[in-house]
Formats: sequence, C-alpha cells, structure tokens
Amino acid sequence: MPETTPLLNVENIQVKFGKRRERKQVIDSVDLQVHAGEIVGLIGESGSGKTTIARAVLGLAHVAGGQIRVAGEEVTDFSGSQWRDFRRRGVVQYVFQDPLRSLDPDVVIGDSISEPLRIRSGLSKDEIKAAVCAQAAEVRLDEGLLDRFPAEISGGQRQRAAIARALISQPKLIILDEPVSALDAATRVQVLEMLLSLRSDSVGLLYISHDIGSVIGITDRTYVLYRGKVVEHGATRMLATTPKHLYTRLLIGSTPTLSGKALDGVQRRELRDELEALSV
Amino acid sequence: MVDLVAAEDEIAVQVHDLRIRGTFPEADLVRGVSFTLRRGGTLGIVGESGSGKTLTCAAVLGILPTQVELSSGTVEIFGANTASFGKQGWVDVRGNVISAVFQDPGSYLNPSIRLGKQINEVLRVKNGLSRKQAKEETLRLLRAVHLRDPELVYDQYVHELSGGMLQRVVIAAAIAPGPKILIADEATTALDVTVQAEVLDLLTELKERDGLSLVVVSHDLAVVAQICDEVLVMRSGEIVEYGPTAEVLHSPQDEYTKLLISEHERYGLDRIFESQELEVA
Repeated sequence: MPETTPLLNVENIQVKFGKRRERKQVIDSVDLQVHAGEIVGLIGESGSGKTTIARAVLGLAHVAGGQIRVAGEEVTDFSGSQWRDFRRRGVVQYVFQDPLRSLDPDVVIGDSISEPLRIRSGLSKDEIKAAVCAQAAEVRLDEGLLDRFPAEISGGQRQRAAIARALISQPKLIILDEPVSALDAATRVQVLEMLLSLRSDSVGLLYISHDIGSVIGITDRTYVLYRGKVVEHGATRMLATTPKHLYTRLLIGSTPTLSGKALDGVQRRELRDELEALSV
Repeated sequence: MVDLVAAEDEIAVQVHDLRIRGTFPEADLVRGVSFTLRRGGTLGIVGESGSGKTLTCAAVLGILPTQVELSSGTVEIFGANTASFGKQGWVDVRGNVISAVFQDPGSYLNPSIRLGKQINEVLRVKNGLSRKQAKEETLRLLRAVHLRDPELVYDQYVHELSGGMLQRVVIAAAIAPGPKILIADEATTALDVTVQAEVLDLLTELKERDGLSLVVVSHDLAVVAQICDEVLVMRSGEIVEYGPTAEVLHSPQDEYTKLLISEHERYGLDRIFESQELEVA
C-alpha cells in the first residue's frame, strides 16, 4: 500500500436511518481508505451497509458523525451547492449494478457517455465526439453501438457504456456497486478484464460486491462489512486464505468453489452459532 | 390416477430429444435436449439466461407457458410418458411425485395467509390429513428444514421472514406431499452466500435422508459442482456438455464450459485454492 494521502479517506463515520426512537445505526464507526492506483474491495451480505457507505461518500446519505475526505477535500459538511459543484467536476463517479436503469432509456449511448463533457462545455462538437470514441475504445465498446438506445444492446455492452460515461470525466475515484452481478459468465469475464485494464496511478477504484468470487479476482485489498461494521480488512489474498473474523471465515467457507468447499455443513453451523452468540 | 413409481424403477426422469418452440415470435427455444436423472441422483443444469434451462424444467413439470409448445420429444417420469397424463394425471403427479422450488420464494407464497396454514393446505389437499394431523406434520416439516422456531414461523407472514427463511418454508411446502423428485430452479440465486450454503446443505440432507432425486438449475457452475454428481451445460437451447461432474470439471470439451471454469480459476476463490490450502476452520 503506498504511503501517500489516500484519494478516499473515510474516518470513523456513522450513518443512522429513521427518526427518534426508531433510529437505527446503519453504519458504525467505519474507517476505509482508497489510494490512487488501488482497487479496493468492499464485501458484505445484503443489508450490511455497503451501498450506504458509497452513498455517504457521494453526499447521498446523511453522515451523523466522522469525516470523509475525497481527493483532499473534506466533503462531510458540504452544502447543497458545494455538492453540486463537486459532482459537476466529476471527481467521483459511480457505476451501478443495473445499467438499464442508470442509463436514460430515451438517450442513445453516445449521448449518455458525452453528457458529462457537454455539461462542463468548453469543447467543440468534434472534440466531444473524438473523446467519446476514444473512451468507447478504452472500455472495448464497439463504435457502431454509440447510436443505439440502451434497450438495443446487451447487458455487458450497457455496463461498459456506463463505465465509459464514468471514465470520461477523468475521475480520481470510481465507485463500482455490484458492476458484474447482473451479467452472464461470458460478459462478466470481459467486464472484469476491462476493469483490470483501467488500473492506473491516477485513479482509485472502490469495488463493492456481495460476491467474493469477483472481489478475489480484481482487488488488492478488501474490507469486510458485517452489520454496519468493518470486521476485517487487509490484502485480499491474505483475507481469503487466513480469514480471522468469524464472519469472514463463514463467508469464505460458504462460497462454492469448483475444487470443493472449504467447510462442511456441520462446521458452518458451528461458526454461525458462534457468530450469533457474538452479536447478541 | 396415473400409476407411478414402481419400487424397482431406477430412472426418475428420462428426457429424450426434447424440442420446445416459441409460437410468437416463432423460434426454436430448446433443441434436442436429452438427459437422465437416476433415482437418488443429483443432476445440475448450468447455462446463462436464455439458454433454455428453465424451459426444460417447465417441460418436465408440464407447466410450459402458453405461447410456448413442446414440438417433439418425450418426458418420462418413473417410466410414464407425461404426454399421456391429462389434467388429472398432472394433478396426481405434481407435488406427490415431482415438485419444484424457484428463485424468489416470496412470490410463491400468499402474503396475507399465515405460513403454517399454507403448508397445511398442501397436506390436507394432497395427503388428505385432518386439520390436527396437518398442523403436526407442518411443524415437523418446518423443523426438518432447520427453521429455528417452527411454532413462531407457523403463525408468521411472508413479510416477517428473510429470503433464506422463506426459501426453507417453500422447500418445506414442496416436500410436504413426499415427492420423489425435486427441481430447484435458481433456488439459491437471490440469497446471500452464507445463506445459500445453508440451503444447499439442506438439499443435500434431503437427498441423503429421504432419497430425493434432485435437479439443480443454476447459472453458477460452482453451486452445481458442489452438490451434483452429473452436470449438463446448456447454451442457446442446446446441450453443449453432459457428464459426471468430476469429468466435466477436469476435462471440459466445450469452449463455453471451459470459459465457466476459467472464470472461477482466474477471478474466484479457486485461483487461491490452487496454490495453497485454506485455514478457515
């Protein structure tokens, strides 16, 4: 891990949902860093708070305590207009699980990709077109597809278009929220390969997933989130081979593999009981 | 009533040269699919969305959607050709002989009826039990699928349970009439990995304890590899690979199967398993 100022520095954040008595702590004292040039995984089961952390980084969830710094800027206390300005600069970009819903169905792919550039203006039509084509090439999206609507291309192509749209602002941080979970095996492999090819010194990737399979394949470090808390983090490989926390052990031991499972049903049940006793 | 399940019948399901046609728009959706499920065996069907795995199962269950028809081929359940079943024949066979669970358990249960009552209904209609007997049997089934507090679940509604618990309730309902064959179509896809493992363990247990023959449909080869003795890989309505699990995993013949395997080896836990042992336990 490089000893530089992290691109994303989340310190001790708290997020609570609901009002007064029904107030529920969703994120509890989470610390998380992403450095430039890194691909960092955030893994956890549904409801563990993965997406809430991402939303907090984007200013879409109210942070009740703690600090978030993005590319050196303290964003925690941004006002509405400061957020708008910050988002316009495209420092952070977000890629969602379902590109069919995150791309405007009435806008052709090329226009969706070029929108961030058009907003910031200053570029001529030809320059924008050239930038879109270059970006499409980088994510291995065929140029002929730029005139099509989202519904007219495949899921993998749509996800690549969504990633191209994120990249065109030359963001420092890209948050990928379950980017391959909705894709078939063949397209999943292509998108993962493409994501690996994006690794560069100028950008950091936060890769959110419930699926340890893809997290193992592309991340350098991983944070394990369980019921709103980071229970373990470290180099992905170490985490997978020598998990310490009960939940991580259960997670790794429950993931089906081709070479046979790591734990049998009885062992898993024991771990689960221990885990439950712990959280009571 | 169709006379089924001769004790000595060793073949649970035999599908021969199955062809399924969509009528609008016209297209061959499943082409020449043949396979055999032995009694007590576990067959896995793997393929991407649109490969025809669910349609194949629907044909075996006799529940093909209306704009889709079986154009040729035969399906035999314990030696009986399903083409001869007719309406009453299917009523006798479904539930009692062959049953199924699907991806989204919540949508197969009535949200406004207590869960216990829904399983009771199956038992009273299919097995002719009295109310009292049905309640006892339902509680036994809820216990058998490892729900922690059967009495509590009995009186609960769909919205009060998690996806994993609901899938157990649906499995309990599916096995209530004592079927010999269970089709699990993406039954664990929507569940968290740890919960998926529990449900897969449950299916394995049912197979070993009750001698249930299983068809496990999944888009994930590893899920199938974990519990099936035979694997069938489908692509674009055709079988591209079919054989014993170990054989398919070690020497895949088809490009698509190779891709599925290489995905796990390159991006999944298998990538690490190859080089060293795990220290999870």
